[in-house]
Amino acid sequence: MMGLLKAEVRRFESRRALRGLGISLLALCFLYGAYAYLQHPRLPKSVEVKRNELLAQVDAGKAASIGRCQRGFRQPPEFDIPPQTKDECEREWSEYLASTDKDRFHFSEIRKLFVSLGLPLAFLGWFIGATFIGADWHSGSLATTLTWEPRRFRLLLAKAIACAGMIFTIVYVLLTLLLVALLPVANFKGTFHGVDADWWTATALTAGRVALVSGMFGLIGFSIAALARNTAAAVGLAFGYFLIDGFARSTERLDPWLLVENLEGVVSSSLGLGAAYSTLQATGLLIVYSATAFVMAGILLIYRDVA
Amino acid sequence: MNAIEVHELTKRYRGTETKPAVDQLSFSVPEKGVFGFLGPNGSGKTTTIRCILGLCRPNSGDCKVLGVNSPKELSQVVGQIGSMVEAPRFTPGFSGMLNLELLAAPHRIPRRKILETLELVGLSESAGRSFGHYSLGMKQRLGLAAALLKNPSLLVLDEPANGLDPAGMHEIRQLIRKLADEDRTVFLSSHLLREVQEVCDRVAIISGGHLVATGTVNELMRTIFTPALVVKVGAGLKKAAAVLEQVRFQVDIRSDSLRVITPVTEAGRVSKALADAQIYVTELREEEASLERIFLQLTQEPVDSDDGPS
Repeated sequence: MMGLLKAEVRRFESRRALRGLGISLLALCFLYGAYAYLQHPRLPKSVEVKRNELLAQVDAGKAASIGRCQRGFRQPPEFDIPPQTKDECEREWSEYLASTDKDRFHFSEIRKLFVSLGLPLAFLGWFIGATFIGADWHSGSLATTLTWEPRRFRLLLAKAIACAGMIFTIVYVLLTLLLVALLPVANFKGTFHGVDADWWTATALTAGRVALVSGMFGLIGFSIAALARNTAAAVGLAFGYFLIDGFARSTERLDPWLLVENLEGVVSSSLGLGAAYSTLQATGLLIVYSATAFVMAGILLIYRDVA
Repeated sequence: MNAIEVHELTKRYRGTETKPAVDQLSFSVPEKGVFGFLGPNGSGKTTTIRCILGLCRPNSGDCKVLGVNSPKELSQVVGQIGSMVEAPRFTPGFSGMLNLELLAAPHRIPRRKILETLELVGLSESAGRSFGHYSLGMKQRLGLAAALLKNPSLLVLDEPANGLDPAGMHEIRQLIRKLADEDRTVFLSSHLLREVQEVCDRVAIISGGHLVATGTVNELMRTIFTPALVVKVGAGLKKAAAVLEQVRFQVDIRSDSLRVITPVTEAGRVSKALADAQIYVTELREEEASLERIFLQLTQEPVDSDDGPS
């Protein structure tokens, strides 16, 4: 299995289209870094000192507020405000902080950027997954490979693991490079305020969750393309689904089962951005969706003729 | 033990259920030597090969390859089977070398072996070029290289000479013969009868998905071939045919000659009958026994023009 897996990883990384896409995304990261650099003014030293003092005051207020949240602080009943979680408290303070110092680039806001990239990167994963197996069907190379490895489910599994794993890695590396591209912006035209060990851990986990959903969406795209035996069907279905999802979200009964809703549940977890479902619940559902799609593709491949 | 055993194999494709591609086909391929699998286009050769290699699921019947059931237990012996089905299919954007490396990697076949195989099929200079830019002949050679890479004891080759120039075809024939002489079994599907006659020890002929004959090439010639005379006359083929039919000969009229279905011992009677009717023979010879004639006789199909003149 390891040999098969290595061969499929090599097949993945050797695809010229994917290499081109990787280079384009890399370029986009650094272009965004350059754009962010140009968008933010360089403030005089004296202004920066004043702003930092202000941020210290905000921090103190935030610490007190979050302390209350953690102790189960509730607003008086007549306020009719639901109790706040630590995440909600942090989010409010983060917004307040950004509005206080909005012309400077806040490195700590990168996590929000990662979360907002979750959906496009997941659909990019879907597209990559679909093209990976779709190309094999289109060229007929799958039939050739099957004359070397006739255990079809095993072969498809190796391809799926390689594909989802590579998508995870690509997305994680991409987000890391985006972070690197924004370092000079924070250094010269912004601030690292709020960036501590906890922040690094939470950001690494957010990037991991974005990469995870991209991998899972990649697996769904892969499985649909394997079922339909072409890339176009899977990509078309993704666009079709995206349109339907928008309408379906207005129906409360369907809401918990929708891909995009659960995707948000996974990626926005630590920021508490109002996702309806817990990270675990949403991750579990996405795993079930992607595993079901893959098993269906695998079973169909076992019984179908490969020309 | 037989290298391949096909037992009452039936395969119907969706949409053509009433006309099976392969219908109750049974034959066996003994170990060692070259076994020719003949049939006109659409006779079910490739479908049979796909079933043997586990690429197609038969509707009924079964195939055994190197003693194991295909496709259920095929993985046990796949390392000993080299195959090339129809036009070789690889990833067009990858080089020939990379395509082979991807196939070879899980089987731990070293790069050196890949280079040797590419050299053997005459593709080492183009190994770095994209498969998509290969000519048809080069694609065939890469397919053959992939089939040979595992050093197989059984080679299943479907039309390996397709797209090759005459020199290339000759090379492939020699290679196939050499492989068989190394105690391997080569299952060669082809519609190029000259190729088959030159390299095969045994053949099976299928038509319309059915087996119509099987045996050694000599056996088929001896038992199936109907002796005939080729008669050319100065003029009036129709009149000559009528004369011969009057004296109870069975005659086929061809473009420039008559085919009189009778043994060579009757040549005198044929000549006399025509001479009596004032028709003079310009050529009279025994029809050459060939696989092509047997094939035509059994399948009632015209032979492809690239098989050379008959």
